[in-house]
Amino acid sequence: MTQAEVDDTLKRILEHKGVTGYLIINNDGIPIRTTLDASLTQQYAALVRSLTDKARSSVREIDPTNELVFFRMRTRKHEILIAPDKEYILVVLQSTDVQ
Amino acid sequence: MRSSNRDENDSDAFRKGLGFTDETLPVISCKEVVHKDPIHSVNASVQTKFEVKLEEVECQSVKRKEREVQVDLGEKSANDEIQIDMGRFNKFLGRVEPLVQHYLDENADRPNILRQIKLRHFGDDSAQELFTLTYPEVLVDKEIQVTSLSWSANGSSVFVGYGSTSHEGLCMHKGAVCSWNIERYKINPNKPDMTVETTNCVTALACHPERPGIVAAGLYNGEILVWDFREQDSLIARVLERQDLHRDSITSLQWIREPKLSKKKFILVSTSQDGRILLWNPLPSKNNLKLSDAYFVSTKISSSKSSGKPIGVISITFNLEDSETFVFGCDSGQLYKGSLNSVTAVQSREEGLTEMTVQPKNPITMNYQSHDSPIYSVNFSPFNRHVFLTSGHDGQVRIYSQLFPNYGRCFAAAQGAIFSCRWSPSRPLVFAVGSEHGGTLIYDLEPQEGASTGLLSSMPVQELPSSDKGSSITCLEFNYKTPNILACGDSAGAVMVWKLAERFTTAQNDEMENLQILAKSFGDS
Repeated sequence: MTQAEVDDTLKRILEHKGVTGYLIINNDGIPIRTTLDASLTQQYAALVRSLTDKARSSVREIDPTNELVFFRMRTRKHEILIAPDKEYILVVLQSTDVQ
Repeated sequence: MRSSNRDENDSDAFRKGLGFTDETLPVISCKEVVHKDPIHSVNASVQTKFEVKLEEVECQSVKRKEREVQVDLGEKSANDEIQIDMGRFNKFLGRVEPLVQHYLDENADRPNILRQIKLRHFGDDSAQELFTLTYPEVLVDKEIQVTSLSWSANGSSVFVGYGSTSHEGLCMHKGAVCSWNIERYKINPNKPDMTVETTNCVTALACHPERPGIVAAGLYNGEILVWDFREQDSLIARVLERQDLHRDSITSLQWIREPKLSKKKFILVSTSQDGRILLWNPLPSKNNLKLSDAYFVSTKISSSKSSGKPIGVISITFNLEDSETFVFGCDSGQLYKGSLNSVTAVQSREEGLTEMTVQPKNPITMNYQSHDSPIYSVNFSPFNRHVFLTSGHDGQVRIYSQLFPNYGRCFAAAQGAIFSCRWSPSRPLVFAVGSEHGGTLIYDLEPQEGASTGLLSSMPVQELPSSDKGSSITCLEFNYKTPNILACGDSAGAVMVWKLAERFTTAQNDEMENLQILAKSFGDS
């Protein structure tokens, strides 16, 4: 039953306006769920991991009582939303092309 | 015993006289004493019975970690090998989903103000000439020029095809294909890394987009050769079935993704002056390049004798998003859209059509406004699926949208015939053309600051000269891996490799939209 809930949530995210794909990786950097193709998934998994760690540690260094909750990278082609957590990291790609 | 006193006896015996008498002595018997003691013999065996206990204990520290890794290209399945705790995963999603939704909504609602910001490029606009590649040995024959060039799959080598464009009858020249690796530390621009000679002029060249070392070349006599330069015996395929061969020179070669099968392999497309567009199977077996599909373009069927004659196809370009649609330009100046799905039969009395292993079809689905002279080059934009570029002998470069039959924009540089035109792979509004007298011309459709739109952008923003200032640029290709590198081959037999300025490689924020707006405006005019 939680499997259905999980699928539901992910479907909701995917169906949102502009979303072109998502990727979820665990703490070891292994992709758990993805809608991207295999090679792109591997690339994102490897890069997002280290980026998230860097961002997290940067926030901590500035203020040890603070912590990273969410961050977005806006690029020309799309926006990359990254939600890091204790166990998993959710990466969502949203296209920024305004029709 | 009688004690004998010898002295007494002696004297007695002496007196009587010595007499020997027999005497029997009494027998003395001893009683036999037999001890009849019973012998006690006790049999006692003593043995310590102990149980043998065997105990084996191995002492070795072993750590095992199992992880399955599988890479499947093309599949969209997630990696489900790792066990995930669904409950905790669900909780994680519950935590992050509101955040993500909030920002997704925000992005969708908020107007994208960053797009209005224009990048301003500082610094020099001029292009830097990296190399001028020549091969003096093949250029001994003064008629030989560079006829085609192609970048390798990884963008580090450029392959150049040599041939001649002046033929009176049969081709008597020797053609060649040479390659230079421009990323090497020290390259000798006058000595190619690798050379292959061919029996006649090379007229078209195409490197495989994914497999390095595989190069296909089209020759003046209609042959197609495929080499794999990593193999010892490099020629891996040629057309063996005589009836499938092109009857005239190959005008262009291209590798495209196989659209119908899901294998995602590449197939080779060749066009020729004999009016045929042929599709050859991917990486053939037994050295045979097998025909997989055929199309034939001919003049309209009418009762006159000259109907059904082939129209030479000079260039072809495939739509990047819709891989079954293509646009081709002909010798007669006609411009057509074709489809790989077309099943229209060809009605022509042209000889050799019925003997082909695959019956050719008529691919034409739409007719565009034609040029008044042969169309030398067509090219679909990598950023917009409707827009394509054409250039012809009349010196015009035209931008069409595939939805409208008439062209949208026309540029006439008055530099003679335009032999080649290519869109930039990194900037949607930039394209480069190779002209007869003016070298390579680069156009930028981006409206300049302060200038009135329209007039200024119809002039080339940059002109790159050919190697000896008089020769025409016969072919040019952008390097898709490093988009600011442009290779131009000219009729003097040299290939110039340019590094373009920053402004030609970094796109503006709204450039793709501007291209779309431009394409839509073609329908209004």
